[in-house]
Amino acid sequence: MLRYLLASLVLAGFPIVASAGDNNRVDLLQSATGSIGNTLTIDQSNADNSLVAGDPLGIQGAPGESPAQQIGDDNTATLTLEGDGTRAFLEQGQIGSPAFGNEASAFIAGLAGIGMIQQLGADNFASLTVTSESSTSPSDGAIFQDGNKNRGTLTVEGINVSGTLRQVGDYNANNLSVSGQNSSVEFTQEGTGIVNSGNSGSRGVSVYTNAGNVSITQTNY
Amino acid sequence: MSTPFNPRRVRNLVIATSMLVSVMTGASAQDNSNTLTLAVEGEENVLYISQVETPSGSGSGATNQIDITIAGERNGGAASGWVTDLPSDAPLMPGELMQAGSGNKLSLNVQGQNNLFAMSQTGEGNRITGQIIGQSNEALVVQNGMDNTAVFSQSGQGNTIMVSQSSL
Repeated sequence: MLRYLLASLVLAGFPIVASAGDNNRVDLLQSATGSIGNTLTIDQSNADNSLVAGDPLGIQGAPGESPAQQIGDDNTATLTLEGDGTRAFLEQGQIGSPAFGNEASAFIAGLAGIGMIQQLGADNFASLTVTSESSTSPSDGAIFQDGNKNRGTLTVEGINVSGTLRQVGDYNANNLSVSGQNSSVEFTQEGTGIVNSGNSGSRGVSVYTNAGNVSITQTNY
Repeated sequence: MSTPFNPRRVRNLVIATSMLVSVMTGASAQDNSNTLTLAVEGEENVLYISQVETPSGSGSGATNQIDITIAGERNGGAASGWVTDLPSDAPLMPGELMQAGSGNKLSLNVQGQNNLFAMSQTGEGNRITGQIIGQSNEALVVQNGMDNTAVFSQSGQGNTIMVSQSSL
């Protein structure tokens, strides 16, 4: 299901910024078998309309229509995007090939920024921070984790920002912090042993907003 | 114009291409574009390749292209190697490949282990394409300018890639 969520976000749900600018992009695939992971660091600072996406070999279609991918276990990814209209889509693990022990951190600052991290597997960690200060150019941040014992930290700050944190599995923990005006939050946890109350490294859910939309769903099996 | 090169087990290989070299390799007066095709098979080869903007400037349509194929171990710049934990402002040392100008293309294909490569493009509309298959390889990509693209695929264990793109 997450695959379809991702596809909808990449292809339709998020706006595509088409203004003139710097337009740098990275299309990436890292794959490995076994327990020795790969390391990815991408810094797209001082550039507008930069993109981090996937499919460098053109297997799935046109580059940019799928996320940058790390396939295998114990991978590390660090993404920094500073500028307006930046977009980063990262996937660790795949359907049918879940990954373990991956870490992904992304920081996106600027107008109309978009960040998305999807992890399929267990014992993964994702941290995403998205900031924006424009009421007319909202930013979006999303973390999707499908598996057990995952940890997710999503921080969204600014005006008209949107944050989505979705965890499906058991013994997952999270931090969700959203602050700003007219912020939109969707927070979903499904599973057993889920933690968001200050235990197991979780600080829980914190939302400070005016005139925002907040949706929180917790489902214990 | 093309410069095929296929040394086997060559150590301490240093290649610098410029407009002068491109003329020597057959550039015509009407075409200032530089193209370098390099295939290396072996171990511990050290590369240093620089293609600078042609004298006629970026508006002439002249572009540079580097195509490199490496098969072996510890190629690029392993002797001076950075190994993981690359700082964001890491100097371009191991396996330094540089292009300046607009519309340049750099293609790197590596198969092997412990290869280190650094690639730098300065200008607009440049493209770096890399495919690395093997273990413990490291690649650093730095692009300064607008409309630049880095397309990278790494397959294997313990590989590292760092990409820095800036418009300053």
